[in-house]
Amino acid sequence: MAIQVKEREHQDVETEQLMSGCEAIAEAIRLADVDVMAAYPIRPYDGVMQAAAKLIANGKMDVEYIVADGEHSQFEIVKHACAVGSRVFVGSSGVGWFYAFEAIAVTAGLRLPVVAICGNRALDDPGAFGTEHNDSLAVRDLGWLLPWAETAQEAMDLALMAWRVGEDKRVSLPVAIGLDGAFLTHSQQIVRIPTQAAVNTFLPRFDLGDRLLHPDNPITIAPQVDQDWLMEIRMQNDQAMRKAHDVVSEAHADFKKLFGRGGDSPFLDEYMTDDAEYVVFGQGTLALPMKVAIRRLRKEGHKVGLVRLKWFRPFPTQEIVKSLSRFKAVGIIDRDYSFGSPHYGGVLYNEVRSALYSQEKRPTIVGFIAGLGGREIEQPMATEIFEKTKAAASDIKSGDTCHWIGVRS
Amino acid sequence: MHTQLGASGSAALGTAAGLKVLMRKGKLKNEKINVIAFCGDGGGADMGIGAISATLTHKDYNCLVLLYDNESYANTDIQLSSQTPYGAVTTFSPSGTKKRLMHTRWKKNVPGMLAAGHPESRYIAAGCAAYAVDLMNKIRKALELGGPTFVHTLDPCPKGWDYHPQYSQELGHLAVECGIWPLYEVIDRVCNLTGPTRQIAEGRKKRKPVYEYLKRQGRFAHFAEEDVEHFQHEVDKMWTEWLIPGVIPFTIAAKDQTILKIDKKPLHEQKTA
Amino acid sequence: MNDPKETSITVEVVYRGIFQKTLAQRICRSIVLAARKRGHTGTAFARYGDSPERNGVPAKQFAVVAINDLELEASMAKYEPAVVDVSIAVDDTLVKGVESWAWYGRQPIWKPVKKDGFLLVTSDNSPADVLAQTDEAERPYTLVTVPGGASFAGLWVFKDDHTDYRVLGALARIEPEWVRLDDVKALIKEQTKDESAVQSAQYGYDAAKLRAVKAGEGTSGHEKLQFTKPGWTTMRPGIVVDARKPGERNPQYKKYTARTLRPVVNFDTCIKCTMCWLDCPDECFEVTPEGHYEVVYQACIGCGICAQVCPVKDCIVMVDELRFEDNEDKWQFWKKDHDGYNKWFEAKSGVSADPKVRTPAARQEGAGNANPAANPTSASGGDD
Ligand SMILES: Cc1ncc(C[n+]2csc(CCOP(=O)(O)OP(=O)(O)O)c2C)c(N)n1
Ligand code: SF4
Ligand code: SF4
Ligand code: SF4
Ligand SMILES: [Mg+2]
Repeated sequence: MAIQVKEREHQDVETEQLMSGCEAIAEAIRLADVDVMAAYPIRPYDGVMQAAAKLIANGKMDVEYIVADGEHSQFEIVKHACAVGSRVFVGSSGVGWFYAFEAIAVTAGLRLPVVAICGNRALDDPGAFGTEHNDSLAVRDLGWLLPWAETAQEAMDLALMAWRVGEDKRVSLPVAIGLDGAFLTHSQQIVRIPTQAAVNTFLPRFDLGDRLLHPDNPITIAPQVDQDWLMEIRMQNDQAMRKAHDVVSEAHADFKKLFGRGGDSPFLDEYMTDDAEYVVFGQGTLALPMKVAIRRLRKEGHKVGLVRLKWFRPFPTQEIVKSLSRFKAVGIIDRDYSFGSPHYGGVLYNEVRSALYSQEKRPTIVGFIAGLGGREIEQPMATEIFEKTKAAASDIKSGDTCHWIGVRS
Repeated sequence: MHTQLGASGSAALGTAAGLKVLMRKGKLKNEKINVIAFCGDGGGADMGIGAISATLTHKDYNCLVLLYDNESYANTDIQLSSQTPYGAVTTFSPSGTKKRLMHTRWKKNVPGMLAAGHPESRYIAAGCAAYAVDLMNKIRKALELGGPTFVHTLDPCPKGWDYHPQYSQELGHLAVECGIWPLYEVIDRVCNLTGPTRQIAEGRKKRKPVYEYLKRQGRFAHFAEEDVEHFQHEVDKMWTEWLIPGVIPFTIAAKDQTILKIDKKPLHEQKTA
Repeated sequence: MNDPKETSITVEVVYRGIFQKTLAQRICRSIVLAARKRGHTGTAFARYGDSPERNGVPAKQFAVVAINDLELEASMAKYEPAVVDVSIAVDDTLVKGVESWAWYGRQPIWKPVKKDGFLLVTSDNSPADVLAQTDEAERPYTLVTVPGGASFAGLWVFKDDHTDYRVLGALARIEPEWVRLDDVKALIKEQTKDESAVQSAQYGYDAAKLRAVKAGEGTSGHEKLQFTKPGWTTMRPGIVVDARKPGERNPQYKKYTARTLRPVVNFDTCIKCTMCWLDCPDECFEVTPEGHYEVVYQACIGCGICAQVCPVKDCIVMVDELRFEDNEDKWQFWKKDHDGYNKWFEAKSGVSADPKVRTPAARQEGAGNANPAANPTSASGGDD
């Protein structure tokens, strides 16, 4: 890929800073030389917009920063800015995300690589700002790439990956990074900030090619289409999503080379799984209390581990099959719900089970709904999850159950 | 580029912002590119009014929002919008045996409202497709003056108004000549009435009775005499009671005429009371 | 009365978008309801979608009648039947072809009509004249004409000129196993309580002229306009299509099949005022080297605005589309052969090219009811 390195005025040495997940994303916006971003207040995502505003006010970056009149406008503004060739950033949370839903839905079909964060938040039972993944997951069928971060560092790294992958011509799809509200958006951690030169090498300049909306390139974007066209358009999106898998792997390899981070697999982060018999599977910050529990349980002699999913879309089916079929039982922890779905499980639970269906060797899969509305996952809950997973191992059918963890009766 | 219903304000803004920043950063050749977002009365006057309003306050971006007002949600088979005239038949306001009029709201005054509410927009105008030269000049001025601008055009719609298309021109003329749709432009907060509207206001032309306009269209065919009278009465009010005919619907109370004598000197030159 | 040999029959009504929508709907519904009187069942529906319902654009509605519900199922959950027994065109200029969706190209009017099926056209012209403007047949069918011009039936106010009753009468003549004249008349009687409407159905039955059309009959003069729909590998991603450059016209979607009338221009009397150019909603006028304005017929939808706004009397005249064989622009003709053009203008329009000669008041202005003056909007509202 053609690389263009651009000199910037700020210091070109990798530094360390104590910053929240939101601030880490803002830092990524600066490093990526984003052109247009659109803001509207809603917790917890808007911490990013506050941090970005400060960077602009302090002359640290040059971005067209538009305070919109609502989330629908926010997403439409960046969609159009993207069509004329701008690198863009936007985001929302919870009900705000849903307010923008129409614009979100059409962006993938237009193949415009808008990069967003969804600061995951419960769907506004009044005053519920805590994390829950149903906002992000609502777009899971629409052609958005959906990575999920665990730490502030990973938030920044995934943001840089997001522009790289989304803007890749083979993909050209929007990306929404999932960030757990509060636990990640608002807690500060030590983050290593890469050098501008390295980022410039990793992230080529955005180029829409012959799809650029410009008077010199007469095109019509999104003329009226009907049943005579839609199957083909959907098929193109399907193909782009398939290709995204390899493009993520490629970008991950480059990222590792340049920044030395990112783990072995672009899609899965495995913890103490080498000799594990029972593992839990989930995404986002819930991995943190589970890792604490694993270390504790290992001391007691339990062969337990964790597999954390980093990209929900494209769903890494092969990687998951390969990884999970090594275990006797897997407990899937959903920080989401899908009322009335098979076995009354969560979204992840049913997706993982579906991925494993045709495998000869497959573990018992048992479901857990935990941490809704940002409820903390405490150690006794983690223990209960492992115990129930282990108990299910002997009988594959026992996985047809989903347990609610830490709920009062 | 097709935008979403109700998003023309945001589309104009996003496009203008994108072009501006790319040119500033040297990522795009620096040249003047006109950004025009079209919307209908449904998409603009109803659903997208908030986004248009927001755009008109972003004075650093050059873009024009053009509202094509055919007085209904036409694409979806003619449903009433806030721009559908009083009493008109639409698929959501049929005339039936028990209810003659299903739609009894008066048309929302969009260009007047936007002009009043967005003092920094340099150009806001009301035009009509039947006055093509007047309209072309308005569009040209809007684009030349720059910043976020807005032009609202009344566009006779044979489909929704139910008349033969060859009369489009004539119906546009009648809407203006009957005083129902005033033509004007507000440039840097100065309002000019244009075309026949100006002639009417200056007394050089007499307003035609609204019946001339109503009777030509199938959508008013169910009108009884009292409906025509009500329509005429409301239009009369636009001309006799509004502060600026057809533009600003309120006026200053008679007892408060002193307000008009307000001291217009800058603050530091004013004497203390 | 014979029982039908088939298990179902499909009828389409091709009409001009919006003005004739109510008319088409009435015809399709009446077909089902009349057939119901003899125990058949049926369904009536419009081509779903909003694009074809533009002024003048050819659009379609359908009626399917079957001997029972099971047989009807094969015709349900469809946008558009691929094969019909009868195609009804309620404006004879529709026989010049149908272009309702850009990517369908221009289709011959008989395209869905099955072998030995019927094409029923309302027309004041002779079957020979209608056939002369219909695409060369690929398979035999019967052309049926029933008297009547293109009805400007209206949308909210249905200006009933009995086109629907005449069409139903004619249909009873050609498909008596499905729609009997007695049933049609009884239905109309119930619906309208109007004896003259019933008589119109009888008139349609009696006056219908049948003309057997063999394969190869018809004209080969119409433009072939076909379009291959691209697949997902050949389409540009992101729902992007090539746009027209300024001044360029769309070679794929020409719109001229929307016309019932076309404007013809008397270049001698044109004062080059630009009004037609300014007000044409489809930007059809091109300025000539001498400052005249000529119509690009490929793009013209025949709305009549130019004729209305032209300040010179009879400088632009709207003329029945069926009288034209081509879509060529005409200024060159006038430039090369002044007198020849003026003769042509007079022959087509019935108006003298010389403004000093008074044109008779009763000159023909297009086909029958398509002249809007024949259909003033004045009906009272309040339907049930
Ligand atoms: C969010 C959304 N709601 C509803 C629709 C359905 N819709 C499509 S076109 C249309 C009518 C728009 O009316 P207007 O803006 O006045 O334009 P017109 O068709 O009259 O030119 C509607 C309601 C839509 N496309 N999107
Ligand atoms: S007649 Fe014109 S304004 Fe009315 S719906 Fe059709 S295109 Fe739109
Ligand atoms: S009839 Fe006249 S105004 Fe209408 S489309 Fe044709 S050329 Fe244009
Ligand atoms: S409106 Fe009539 S007179 Fe004027 S330019 Fe057109 S054809 Fe000529
Ligand atoms: Mg409208």
